Amino acid sequence: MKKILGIALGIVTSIGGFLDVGSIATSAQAGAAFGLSLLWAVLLGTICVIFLVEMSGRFSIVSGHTIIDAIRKRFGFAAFIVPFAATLLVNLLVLAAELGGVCVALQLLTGIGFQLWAIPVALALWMLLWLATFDMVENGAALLGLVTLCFVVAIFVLGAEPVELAAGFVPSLPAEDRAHYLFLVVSIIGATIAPYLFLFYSSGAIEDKWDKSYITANRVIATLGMSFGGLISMAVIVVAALALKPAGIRVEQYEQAALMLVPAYGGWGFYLFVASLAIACFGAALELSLASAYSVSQAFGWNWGENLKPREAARFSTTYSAFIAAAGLIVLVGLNPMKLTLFSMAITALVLPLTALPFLVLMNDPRYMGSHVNSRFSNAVVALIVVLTAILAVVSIPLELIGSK
Amino acid sequence: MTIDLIRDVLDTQVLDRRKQPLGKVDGIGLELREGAAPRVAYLEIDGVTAWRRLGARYGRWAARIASRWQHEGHPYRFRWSQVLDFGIDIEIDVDAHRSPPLDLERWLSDKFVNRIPGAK
Repeated sequence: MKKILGIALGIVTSIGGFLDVGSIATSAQAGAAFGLSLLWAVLLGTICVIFLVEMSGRFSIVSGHTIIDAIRKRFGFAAFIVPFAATLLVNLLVLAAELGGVCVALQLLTGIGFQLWAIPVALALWMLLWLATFDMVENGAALLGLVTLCFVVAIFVLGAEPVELAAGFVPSLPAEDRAHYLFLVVSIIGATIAPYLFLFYSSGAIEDKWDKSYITANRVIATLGMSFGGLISMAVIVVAALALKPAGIRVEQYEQAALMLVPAYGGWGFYLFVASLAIACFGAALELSLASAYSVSQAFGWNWGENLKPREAARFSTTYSAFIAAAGLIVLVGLNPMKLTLFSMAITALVLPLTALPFLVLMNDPRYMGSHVNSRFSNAVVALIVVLTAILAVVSIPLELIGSK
Repeated sequence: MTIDLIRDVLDTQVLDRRKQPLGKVDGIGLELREGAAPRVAYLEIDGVTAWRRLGARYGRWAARIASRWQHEGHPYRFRWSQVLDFGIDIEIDVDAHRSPPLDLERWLSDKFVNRIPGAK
């Protein structure tokens, strides 16, 4: 019974935790600019993230290690620290994007500029982590995150053509604007395969003391949870394609994206979008702050844990405090939040091999995994998607930078 | 039983006798002996040691920063005879509370964490 409850909760958390600022921004822009033709990129990212999340759960169950802890031990401090620092920096950028997403939602609601919200939102996030036990916060955020299902419902309200939907799952290149199309492919995959997702998941498996009886449960949670999450990202593309593209609205700002639910729900659509944006970003910001502090603590062997009071884990709580403060400052500078989001997602895709490839090496090491090492198939799926996306990122990020000037 | 020091010991998590984290094995000291095989003199837990593995300059930088919170007893060393259990982690027969590897933890508690309401 406890296991079934765990599975249900795992699925709910991943639905709630999956959709973040990255998925909303990339999917909204993709649907508005290229219609349904980028659905395949979400599918590709979702397949990869299912494999990675399942692996990270299996790794922690079988080896008893968290991923970061094991990568440092297997590769040594000197080889570990530079890629690790790069991953943390990208986490910081993404956290700034998530905070920015909450601030933009508040701006849409109140008309007060998003920069002014940076400090109150960062403070609220920090206070929640400081005062509440995390179980409570995470489950609460995940349940509230189910509001994002409104994107799925909107597809039925608007009525999508099944044939056109299916065509979107076949990779294709558009006749024009190819550079931006490829940049969006990279950002979408980066938004889908966020490293903090599987670092977080592996820490959770250790915290909840999963043993080998959880191997199947882990597979079910990873597959169903991530599939549902991917489904919502796809729904955002479809809704943007149906509601924004025919009107010729290009999503350069969140203000434009905010209109996408209006054709389906009328005036309420605006509020549903704002609520989805705020809740999804805030939930992701919570996970991201914690995942970063977990990673640093595991890298240096400090005590860590979601239910420790700040006093019992001073280094851990100082780490997330510093992260949130730095991310708040980035929002305060006032970069265009949409652009910041798209670029941090593309850079996520760029640095993904730095964590994913060493992790694959661990998954094939019988000293950690015993008889539970990866199959060749799952190695190939993850390595191929991660490496190809990173190569595409190297090409498309400079092109986008030149193009956007 | 043979142990591969680099593979199995270096960078392994160290816990105290109550399973509280002390840090990682950041360095290993060998003792060279006349006419006999070298033996492990001590294992070291110290962030500065880890950074020094990147290069002497990083070690100096780390030492300068760490001098803000490190009291005496650094680098912290323990002997193999103190090891209680050797597996995924290394458990040693000491009390983490008040031990030198937790200087940063105590420094942050005093300067920052405990001054903010709600830390308990």
